[in-house]
Amino acid sequence: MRRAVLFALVLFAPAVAQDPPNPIDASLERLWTERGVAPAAISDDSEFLRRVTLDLAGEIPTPDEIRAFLKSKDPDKRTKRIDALLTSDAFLDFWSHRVTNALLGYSRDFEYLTNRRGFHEWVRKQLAEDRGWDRIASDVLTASGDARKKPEVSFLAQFLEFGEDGRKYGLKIEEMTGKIATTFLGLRLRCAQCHDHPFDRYTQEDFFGVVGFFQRTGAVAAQADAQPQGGLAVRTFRDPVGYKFEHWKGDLAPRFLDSRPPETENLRVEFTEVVVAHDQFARAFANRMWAYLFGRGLVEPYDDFSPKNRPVAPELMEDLVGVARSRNFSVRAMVRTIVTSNAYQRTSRATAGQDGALQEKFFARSRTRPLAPEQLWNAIDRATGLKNADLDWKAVRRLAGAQQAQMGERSTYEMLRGWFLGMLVRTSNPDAPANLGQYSANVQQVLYAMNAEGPIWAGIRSKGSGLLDKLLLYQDDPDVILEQLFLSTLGRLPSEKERDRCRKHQAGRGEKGYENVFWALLNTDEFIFNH
Amino acid sequence: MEFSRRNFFGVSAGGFASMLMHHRWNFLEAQDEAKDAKSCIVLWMDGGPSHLDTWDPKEGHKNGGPVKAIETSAKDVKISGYLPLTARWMHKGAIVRSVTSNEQDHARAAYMMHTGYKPTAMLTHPTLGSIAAYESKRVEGMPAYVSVRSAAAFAFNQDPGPGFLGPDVSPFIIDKPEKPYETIKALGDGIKERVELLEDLNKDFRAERPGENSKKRESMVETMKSIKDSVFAKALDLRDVSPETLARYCGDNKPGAPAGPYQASPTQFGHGCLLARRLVGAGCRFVEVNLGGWDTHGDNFNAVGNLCKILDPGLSSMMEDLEKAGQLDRTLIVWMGEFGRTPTINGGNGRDHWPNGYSVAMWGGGIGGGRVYGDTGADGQTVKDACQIPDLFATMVHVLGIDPNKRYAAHDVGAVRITDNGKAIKALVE
Repeated sequence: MRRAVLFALVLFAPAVAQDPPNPIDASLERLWTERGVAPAAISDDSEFLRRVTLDLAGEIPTPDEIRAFLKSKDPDKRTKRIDALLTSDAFLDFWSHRVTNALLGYSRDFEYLTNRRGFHEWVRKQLAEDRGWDRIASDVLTASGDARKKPEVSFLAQFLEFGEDGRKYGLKIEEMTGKIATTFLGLRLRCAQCHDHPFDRYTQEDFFGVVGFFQRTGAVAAQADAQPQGGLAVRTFRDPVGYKFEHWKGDLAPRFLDSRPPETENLRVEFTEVVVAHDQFARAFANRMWAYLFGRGLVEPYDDFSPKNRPVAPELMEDLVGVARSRNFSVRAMVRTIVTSNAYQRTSRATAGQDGALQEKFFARSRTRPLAPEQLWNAIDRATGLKNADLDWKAVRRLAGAQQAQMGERSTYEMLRGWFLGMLVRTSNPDAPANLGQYSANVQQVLYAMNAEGPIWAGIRSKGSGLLDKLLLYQDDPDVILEQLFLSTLGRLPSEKERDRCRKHQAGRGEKGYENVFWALLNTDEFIFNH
Repeated sequence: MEFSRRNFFGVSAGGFASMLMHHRWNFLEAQDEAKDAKSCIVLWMDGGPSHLDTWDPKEGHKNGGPVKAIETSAKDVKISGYLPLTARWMHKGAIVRSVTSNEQDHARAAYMMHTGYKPTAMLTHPTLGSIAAYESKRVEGMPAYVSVRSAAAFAFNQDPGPGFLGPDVSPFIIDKPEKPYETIKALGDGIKERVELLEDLNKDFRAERPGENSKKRESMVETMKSIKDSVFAKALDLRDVSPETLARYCGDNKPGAPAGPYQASPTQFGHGCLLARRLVGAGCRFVEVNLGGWDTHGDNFNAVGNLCKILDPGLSSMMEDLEKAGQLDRTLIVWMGEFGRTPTINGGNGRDHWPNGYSVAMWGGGIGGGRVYGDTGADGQTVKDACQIPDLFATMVHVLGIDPNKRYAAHDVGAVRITDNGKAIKALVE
């Protein structure tokens, strides 16, 4: 009976209730008309709920959340759900990871001069207070000091380096300039570091003009009297540091990309003010947020704007710049604008008679995209009940290779989580912008997801708190178990065909059969992709 | 040749990954004609091995400590008395005694030795293993790049992996060298039936969402069905290895607890060498085997003596078996770590970090046998014919039949040369 009601709700997916007209939809509709693309239908409630929960909170909805959402007849329920997610702790957790990874990259372990943990906490605080992307950019670009005491210095500190014999030190300001340009302006200037580029607007001279703004930014030993090996701090000097470059012997007179010289002596501050006020800063921000939520930027890759690589929807790009400015570069407001649009809420299913690739290119259909490492861990964690599971600490220690002494500091769960995330980063290169949309993994990742050493089997077999262990109380009603397994993993109920297939496998296998069904669900494309 | 990154990134919807695939397949067509594809085995001495007590002994000088210099199978080449078995193979090998850098930090130096570049915050360079994998023809059912390292042993070994070349050429890591088959065995019984169930559940979803992601995923999942029967799995399954063979590779060592920090069970390295030989024999292009424990700030001579008792049987048995199988001439073996150790001996009878002139040893693969390049003088402190890391890297790349000047397109940086302007050392390769 209950099942029949749920199906009815799923079939009659309500149209998306709207705030004031969303600028995104009007722009995209014009684009589709021009290009002759028909949009896919609006997603049903379970598809929407899973996607928005992954994108905003970095996790999948629980069966209770799904049931309540499907049952609700409130026409505003999608918007209300979005607002609840936007104000959740999980939003801060997930988006502070995102921003940290955007600014520092996924961990590469050369971090003794930066302070990743402190930086992550700092970012989380900025997002909690809803300080805009422009404020965050200003803070990290103008920061000075020791990153261990002032975490926002970490962004520049990642470019600190020891020179000859460890006694000279400074910043790699040309790489820093390249990173600032890609991250905050969406311009891949760094190619111009070594040579003029035939197809680019900007020359090597332009590039080193920008580098010139950092010629007085250097490094000092973090503590007076101490050896530099004890740490370095970023500092602005009165005179040029005297940087030398392999590919540039010209001068370092600071110039903006439009060749304008600076007006003040305070080079780094003036540079920062010009950057965050520039339209390109707003475009890069909007495009990055768009790419995070669609798996592909309006300009793709999202950090590579150029005359040869323009937005697929130029008007929309400028509309989003307007949103960014009017909402003071709030990450939360930009995310809200995007996910409340019809475009975000369309189904990922191909539309009969339509060119699927074209639909994806023009955002007329939701892209099927890989989960970020944190999303995948959270999804496995939540689906299986891993967090409270009684894990085999010896097995986890073997896997993570932890020394006995480290065991006291981290729980078995934390150790498994750290190992798994590290493995995912190593085997999927999430730093590459294209990998927001492209599934990228090697055999070893798939092997660990499927074998008994990885967290999936650990979660399936965990006794007491584990999902399956609890479900096995209902063995006399296989449908209850199957429904709960589908809801916990895929966020929807099984079709009749799927029920039959799973029952067929389970028959005669007892508990083992349910374990296998659970295992299969956790390894489906539907589980490991966001769609 | 200049090329435009726009060609790679500006238009194609598949973006970087599809560019890589396209690129590799193009290369493959050319490679098909080359019959004797070369393999490489890197023995990674984690922690910064003492070059003085291995390949550059200073017997008779106070900096030499108690270490004897012994004759080898190569005329006028003497190595440490700690390595009597390896001494028989120096006619097939070359020592570079003058590798020079200024990097004293373990992680950064390990990055440089693995990639030939200084670490930067802008991009991660690919390791030699990833380059070899990228440039080579794949053998069905065999990863091109395998790294054998105990999970406990790679505290310093920050192998940066494939970098911008992407996960397709990242190493398959064997972290239980004594039981290497376990990770595959852990797929459990009935994997075929389970994958069939999984693929049935995938059908509708994939049909409704066709595209590159689904295709790639499908081929990965398919691999799991047959991985237990692959040549790779066969090479990892050590049940057919006789106790005598294992004893030859592991010497007098017995499996057990690590002897010190960052070390593994004393028989892991011997197993790693045996695995490297089996994998290369089955078509693997690149294997790295880790031996940790070389950060000998204290009690250097006992520690190095013990490590050499692990190194010597493993390395020499591997060469012996490769030679017997006729594979040594197309397998480059490299012994290296992140840097060397100070010629002067500190108050704790230890040696500290020394990047100013240290040794790397190589055998087989077409490297000129019985040669020594560079010199560190009687006291170990006067470097002659300094060899920069990019030149060392170019030498290895060249020996593997890859053009050191070839350029790759990195995702936001443009063209990046395989080596940082390095040039192969002619004295070793001609």
